[in-house]
Amino acid sequence: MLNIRIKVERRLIIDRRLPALISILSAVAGILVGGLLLTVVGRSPIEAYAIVFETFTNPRSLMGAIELGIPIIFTSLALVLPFRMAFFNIGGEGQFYMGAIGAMIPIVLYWSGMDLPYGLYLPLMALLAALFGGLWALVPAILKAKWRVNEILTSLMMNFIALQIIWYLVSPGGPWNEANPAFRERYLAYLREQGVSVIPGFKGTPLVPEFARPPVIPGTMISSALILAVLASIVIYFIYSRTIIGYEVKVVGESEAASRYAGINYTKLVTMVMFTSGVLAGLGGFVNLSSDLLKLTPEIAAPGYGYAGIIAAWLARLNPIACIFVSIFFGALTQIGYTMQQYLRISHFVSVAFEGLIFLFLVLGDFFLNYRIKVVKGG
Amino acid sequence: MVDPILINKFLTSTLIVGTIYLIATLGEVVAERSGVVNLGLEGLMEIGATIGIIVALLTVNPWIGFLAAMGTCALVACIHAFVTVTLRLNQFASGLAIYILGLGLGVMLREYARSVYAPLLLKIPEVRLYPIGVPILKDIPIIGALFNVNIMVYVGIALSIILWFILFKTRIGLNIRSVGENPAAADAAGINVFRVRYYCVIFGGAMAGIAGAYLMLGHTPQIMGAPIVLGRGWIAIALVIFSFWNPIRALFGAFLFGGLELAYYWLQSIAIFRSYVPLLIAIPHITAIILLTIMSIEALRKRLGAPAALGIPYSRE
Repeated sequence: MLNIRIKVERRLIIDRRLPALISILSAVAGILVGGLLLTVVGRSPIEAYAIVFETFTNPRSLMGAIELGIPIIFTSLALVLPFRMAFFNIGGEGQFYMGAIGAMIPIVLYWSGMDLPYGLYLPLMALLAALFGGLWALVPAILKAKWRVNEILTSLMMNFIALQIIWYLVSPGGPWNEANPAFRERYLAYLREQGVSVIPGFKGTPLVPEFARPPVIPGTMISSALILAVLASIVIYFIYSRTIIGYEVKVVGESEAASRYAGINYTKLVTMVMFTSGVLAGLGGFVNLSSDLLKLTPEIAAPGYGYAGIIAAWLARLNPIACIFVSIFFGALTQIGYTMQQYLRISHFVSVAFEGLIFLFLVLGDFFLNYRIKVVKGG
Repeated sequence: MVDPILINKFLTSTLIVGTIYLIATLGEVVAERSGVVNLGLEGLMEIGATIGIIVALLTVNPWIGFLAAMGTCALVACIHAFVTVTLRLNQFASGLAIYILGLGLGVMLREYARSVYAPLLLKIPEVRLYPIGVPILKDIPIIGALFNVNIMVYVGIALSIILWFILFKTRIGLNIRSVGENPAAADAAGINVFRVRYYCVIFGGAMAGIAGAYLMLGHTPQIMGAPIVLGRGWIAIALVIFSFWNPIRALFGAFLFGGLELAYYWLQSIAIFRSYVPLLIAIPHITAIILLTIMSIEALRKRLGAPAALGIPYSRE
């Protein structure tokens, strides 16, 4: 009889292609197991896989995936530098919300009767979004640098606070709610042009007017914000590989103690890195608000772009260029969630479950970075 | 000046809500004492909430709901134990993955249950926990609040005393603490580090399951297709730090946050606060950040701190 033994042994040489392979396999495993899990809610996995297949092969839904992926490019890029220096910013979600709030300011002013040259709106919105996101990200950074306060918990708490600020601003009776009398004159005239005769007064701000929406790339349905996203990833790539900040991030990531001996100022570095991180997440909020959501509502929290960014960044192995492709894959997952909600009548939170599974497989897969399983005959 | 009946009402609801935090915190205290952080608490509670309410409604028995939630979350916590103890992989990443997985699964299952078991919702009054309300005693000012709560509040308080006793006065507790402080020494002394950590992580998961089920059955019974734990699991992780990994101190933190969570409800009756209710809802999260900061300054000054091996996988190699 054949005597087979399974042996786990430490890898001596680490294959450089292995991390990417593990990422891809985790994504596939996550989707396969996720589909099987749907049997729990009485749906056939085959139907689920069909939707997944359809999303990745149909050019139309692929374009939708890219569109939904753009905010995730920003939220995942935002984590490249902090994660590389072992600063676990999981406040991307809140920085994203703050970005959307910042971007909404010029629009709110416009509806209350203040005018700016049309061409100024988009740059001004982006600028305010970047600033709001960046400042919001500074809170956990400074607390950590000064008093070693756990950044995971503080950055996460900041997410809930930011969302409550949105609720405050846009709830009926809130200062930015569309039914605010200050917007009435101009907004009602605008709505009448669109064939709507009353302001409904739901939770939400007035719409972002056409001139403040980024144009669509000709011949596609994709927002030109994609170009901004690609530029951002090149900038992060450059910062990481070609600048002193990038070098210092690398040193701190390898050993914080060593970085102190090397004379690296941790407070200064973490402040700069986290401000940059918040700027990127904030820009994500701007893009989501101006190209997809078109009005600020608590609905901004539904897709969980900030949390998706964490997994996307991990899956991309903190490589800024890979972030683009992984984020588009996550855009597809979000799209799949909405398609399943529509056709299989299950909650779109199914895509969150898929993301969680992929993350779990990724964490598990990392075992094989350092170990390999060998089947030994006889023994 | 303030109506004593109102004060009692406030204290009662503080105890009831605080117990959600208390149970989750106690589980995490034990897990962290053994050296393993589980950031997945929020997700586990989301699963516990879903399983708890569905099973309770199906069996028309809240206790079977609690048991089912406990079992399910203990199983999910096994994954975390396997990843972090056996495979010695990143505890933070694994916890975050469980958080996101739990959030997705919990909400998805709840939405499904709502569509399939809609008629069961009528049974909610039969499964929810009611305050016991000891006659006469419950009308005593201030202390009376303690006699007008549901049974899980007593369970929570009893558990924190029992766990304190186990952790600090028994052999088992000594083993758990030594595994969290110095696993190599514990191993040399003949303690099975891996087994202790497994048990503690699974215990933490089971407690998160109870906390989630209790959130539903003791506080807000409903079946909604939206997240329901809303950061309480994360606050519980912060509470572990506030309590310096001590179950008795966890009592104070948990009930403080129970009160803070309800602050918006009581403050909204005051005119100037009325239009700021959404901001008042963030009071617990803001307080958590402030307290975490104070605690960190204190910890730096007094050199108090977490179990020494917290977050670090143990390997015999």
